Amino acid sequence: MLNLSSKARKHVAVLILAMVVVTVGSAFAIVWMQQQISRTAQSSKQFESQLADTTRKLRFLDERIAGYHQPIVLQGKIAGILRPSVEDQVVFVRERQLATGRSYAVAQPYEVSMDLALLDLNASRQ
Amino acid sequence: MSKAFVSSGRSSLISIAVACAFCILLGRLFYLHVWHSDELLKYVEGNRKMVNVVEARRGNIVDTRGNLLATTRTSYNIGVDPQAFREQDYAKLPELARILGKPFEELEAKVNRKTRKVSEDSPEVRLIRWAVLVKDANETVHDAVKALGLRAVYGNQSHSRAYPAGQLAAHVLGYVNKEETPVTGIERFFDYYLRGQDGWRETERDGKRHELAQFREREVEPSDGLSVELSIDQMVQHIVEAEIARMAQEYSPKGISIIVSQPATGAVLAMANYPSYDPNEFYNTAKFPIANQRNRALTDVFEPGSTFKIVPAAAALNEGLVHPSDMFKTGVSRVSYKGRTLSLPSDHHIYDELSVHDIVVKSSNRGAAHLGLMLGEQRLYEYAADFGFGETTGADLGGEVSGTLHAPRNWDGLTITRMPMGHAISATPMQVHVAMSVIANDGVLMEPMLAKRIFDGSGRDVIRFKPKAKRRVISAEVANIVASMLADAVGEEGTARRAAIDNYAVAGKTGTTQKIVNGRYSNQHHVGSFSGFFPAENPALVITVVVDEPQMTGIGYGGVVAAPAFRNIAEASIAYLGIRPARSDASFVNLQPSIYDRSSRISN
Repeated sequence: MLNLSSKARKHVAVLILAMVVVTVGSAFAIVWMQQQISRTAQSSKQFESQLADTTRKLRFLDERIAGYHQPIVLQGKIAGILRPSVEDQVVFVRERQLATGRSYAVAQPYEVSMDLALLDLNASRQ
Repeated sequence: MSKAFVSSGRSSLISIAVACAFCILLGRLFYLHVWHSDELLKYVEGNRKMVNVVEARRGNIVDTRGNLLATTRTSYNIGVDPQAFREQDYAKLPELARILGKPFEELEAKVNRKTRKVSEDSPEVRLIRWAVLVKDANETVHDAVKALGLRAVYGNQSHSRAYPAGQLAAHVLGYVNKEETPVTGIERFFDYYLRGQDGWRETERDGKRHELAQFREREVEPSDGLSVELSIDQMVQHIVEAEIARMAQEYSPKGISIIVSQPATGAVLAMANYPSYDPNEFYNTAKFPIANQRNRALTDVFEPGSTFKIVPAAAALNEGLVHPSDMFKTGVSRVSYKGRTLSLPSDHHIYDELSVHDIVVKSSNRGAAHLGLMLGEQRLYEYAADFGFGETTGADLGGEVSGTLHAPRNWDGLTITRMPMGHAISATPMQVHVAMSVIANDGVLMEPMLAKRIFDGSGRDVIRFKPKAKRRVISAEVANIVASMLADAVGEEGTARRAAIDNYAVAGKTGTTQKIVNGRYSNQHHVGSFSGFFPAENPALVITVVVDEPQMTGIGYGGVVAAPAFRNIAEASIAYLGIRPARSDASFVNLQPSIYDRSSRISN
């Protein structure tokens, strides 16, 4: 039998203990890491599915909005409210061509119809 | 302390038995892990691993202002597992019936029916695990059902193509059938860009077949389809379709085609036909017969009639053969041509003589024949071909036909006098439209443009389509002369008075042709058409209206049935697009009250 000094025996014991601690610790760490990976993957999957849900609902809303924006629907909504403009309700403007190439509309005060300010929506249209 | 006595024989026996058991175990392990490992590994992996296909979403189709015309919808088939339906769930059944819009008794019967016979004759029964309650439910219904918290009631997702505008622009859009195959229209023509590419995911699953996300190995993201932006304007399309509905009610015709486009770019703002169909219900052939799916503007041919007279007139002017004021003896019914005596077609009114200008304005068949004779077969044919007759226009829809324009070697003796008045030739409404666009576009023939661009999910351009000029057909000067003649054709003296709009110079040509029935021109079957543009000095829109066999007292002249439709569409478009009259002193609002003003008719 190998005769070891007590100091050496202690070192061996510490070494074995350290190995056991490292092994057990690593094993737990691996399990913990696996668990974390699993949790992260699950939550990613959840976010993925939430995102897909939201996108799907947004698209559904887009479709509904498109349905409400159909000319026939819009016309139905404004029926009895909007009326075609008559001559007096239109403001005439003049176009002025500038050297810069831009065009500006210049309204002359006398060309603005007073009817615009005194418009009565309840009045019957001629 | 007493010790249990174990005989050496027995202990040996037990030892051998234990050793044997271990050997068997080892043998079994060897068999499973080494001998049959390949087969078993495949079996295990097959159970554990799975490849999920992640479907790509088909792109949208939008109009020129971004309004959604076609999209992909997620719908749900909601059903019940009668085995999982609990006693306490019955209390929620009335609410479920209300949400699904189904009779309570029907739902109750489905929930209570737990088994079904394998076959009529067999006594064997099976458990019902899925009974459909409602198909194609939308998100709102699905969410409401989920909120009830019934574990036994759930929905399975499915994807389908949706057309929020219903019948609007149906012939342009086409549709995708239940097998996800694009059948017609833009859906088919641009399928390569619209369909996208599916992705896939290699992963593992647990015993309940749920995915174990942590074991995802390889993942390829799906690439959603690109979207297509059309030149179609939803509102102009609606104006056109409303007009078609009015005409269909008034004339009960066999068919109507209307095209609206911008001459300078060839961009088509509206294209509609009657009869039409709803792409959301393409399968309902009882409601929408298959024939309704035909885009008549591109597939149906007719003799263009007088609308074709712009070709010999423009050709003769472009060749320098005539001047607008040159006179022709239109009172004579026979002429000598290349040593033969040819009879000329007759006119509704007999004119002793007409100028080139008046031949167009009065729509004289005989005058047009004179112009054709001056041009000769080859030049008339070449100009007709240059104006786009006898070839497809290149509209991005597919299924287009080229019409008929025979080469001069196949002409009979009368063709030279009949073709100038639009007989002995057949064309689609689109070809007539393109020919008129040449006059409106200073003599340049543009390819009709239906798609403006293809863009990705972020709205970035992938492809932008540019206006495509195919060729110059006539000089700009000649185009302007013909345009002024056509403007007079819409005047008081012309055949298209009903197309006139106050303060706007409208240019256009009517056409009325007898249809060939049983090999002869019929007096009862006509095609009335009008093709024109406005403002004549600076054309903003070209509109072509073709009405096939209008039912009315008397002949369905183009000037009677098609010209008013042109005016109605033009007036509504002026208001909507803000098209200004070419004359600066004219008001663009001095119009008749629009027929689209429903304020006096509908209230809600």
